[in-house]
Amino acid sequence: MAAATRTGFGHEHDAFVRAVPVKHATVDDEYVTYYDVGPRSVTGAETSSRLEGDETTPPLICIGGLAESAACFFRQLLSLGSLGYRVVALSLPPRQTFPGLAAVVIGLCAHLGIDRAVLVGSGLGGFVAQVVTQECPDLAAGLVLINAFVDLAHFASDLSCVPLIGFMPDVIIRRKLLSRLPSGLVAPEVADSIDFMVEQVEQLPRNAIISRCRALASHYDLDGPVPLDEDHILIIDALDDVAVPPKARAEVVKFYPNARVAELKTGSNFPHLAVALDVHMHMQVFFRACGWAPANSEPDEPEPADHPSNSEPLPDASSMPFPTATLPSWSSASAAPAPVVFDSFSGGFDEADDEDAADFF
Amino acid sequence: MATRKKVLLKVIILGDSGVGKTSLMNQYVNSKFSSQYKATIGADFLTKEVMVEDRLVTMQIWDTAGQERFQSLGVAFYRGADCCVLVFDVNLPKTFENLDSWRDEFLIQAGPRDPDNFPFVVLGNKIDLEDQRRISTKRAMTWCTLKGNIPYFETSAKENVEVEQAFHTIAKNALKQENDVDLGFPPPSAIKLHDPPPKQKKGCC
Repeated sequence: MAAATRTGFGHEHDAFVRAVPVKHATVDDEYVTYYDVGPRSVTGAETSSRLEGDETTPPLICIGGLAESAACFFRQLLSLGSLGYRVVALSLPPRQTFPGLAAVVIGLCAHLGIDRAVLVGSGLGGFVAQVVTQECPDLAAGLVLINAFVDLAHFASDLSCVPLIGFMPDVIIRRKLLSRLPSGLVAPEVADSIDFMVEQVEQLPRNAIISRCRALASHYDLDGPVPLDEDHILIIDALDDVAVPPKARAEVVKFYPNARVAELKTGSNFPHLAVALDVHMHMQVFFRACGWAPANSEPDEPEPADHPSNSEPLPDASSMPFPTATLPSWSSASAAPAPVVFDSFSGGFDEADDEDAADFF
Repeated sequence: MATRKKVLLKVIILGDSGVGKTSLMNQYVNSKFSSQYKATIGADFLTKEVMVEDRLVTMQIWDTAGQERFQSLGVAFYRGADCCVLVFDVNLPKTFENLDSWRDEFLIQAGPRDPDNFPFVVLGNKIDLEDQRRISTKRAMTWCTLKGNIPYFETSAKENVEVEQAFHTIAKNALKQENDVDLGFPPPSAIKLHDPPPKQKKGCC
């Protein structure tokens, strides 16, 4: 049981690695690694989708936190991608200032031909997303801030050793990063996310960690709320133990008093990994409130009879500790031999998630 | 950690379309009522902070579209709910008869640990239309007693009758449910990650 729990993300992540290619681009003289799933035709340009009156959801640009890389958004890339959203996740290159990091995000959007985007940022990534919104207001159609902060002052005491960080042995730096993860008794899904992150921290380039710490210590000031309609800001906040201090996160809500706030019972540092389904639900409700529909939504289309999730049950659903049988139907789809091409998704997948629900009516 | 442990209660409102789910929620959270009917699209939620038994709790009240159900939100919508509110219109017998299926639907989807004791609350709404009334208090009470003594309130979102009291009971029962779940935690299969010897301050270097 314990072993099955520990590899909770294993199957899903394997499916992700098999199906979604890593991409690279040189942006702003920086070598950037990213993933890009969903319909490439979605660029955020204001065009109506097939649903009348609804605009297609602009592409989601996911920016990770201090210890995260693009792969940490793999559950968003898989599930939201299969629901018809275009999802891009990037690994922040080693830059030591927030305007520098923001320039890379803006550059990547230009490279991909994206005019408007929903910026999804977790922790430090949330701060980058806000800087992007300030530097390039036309790009940001919406903001999703996951355990984010608006003021770097909260980290000053933690970061007193940043001037020396370049001289620190690798193992110490990584240990420090790992010490930010929650300890003690945690919910199984949070434990899964921690296990995943421990692996991530091992793989993170040293210079990326160092430069992100230096950025955090850079005393950059946001200079007031970002120039974006607050209806288009979603704040996702996990209520359990999170590395970003509660005070810093409470400030975000005060900073954007009219933003939509989605509180989660659990999720810890990485709700987008631990309780991805809840995060997706809140994001979908938020998109709908903004008048955005997924690119290929066809609400009235009948269920295809040979839907993959009917014929092929999840291999490990029974051994999951929680109702993780609620894994996105995508993972079962990916277990099928035929590779799934994200670009050519048609509406059929839309219905996948609520298929079980529909049976009861 | 214990000092700041904020309590979040997830409350789900179910019932046929047009019985006043959105109105009840709006009356309770925003003290607003509009007699104009606007169908809810998909699902949405409002939050309200209340004091229950000397504890500050945040109620996350989810409102569903009666006719559309929850579209693609799937299981995550029901999961982790602490209380389910079933609403019917006292003037429309059909909406009362459908309570059974709404309740079953919820229990199947949410899969609570102890389905027999999961807190439900039933609201008979629109009692302001007194002369059109079709479902008597007695009939509703009988159903509630049969289903395990579900608390029953007769409300009017329009005239703000009993709304506050109903939601207070909802919060109270939800909190009790939340505490019960806490007692069952950690489940036997929980993983224990050991603390590093001294409690480390969060920091990155």
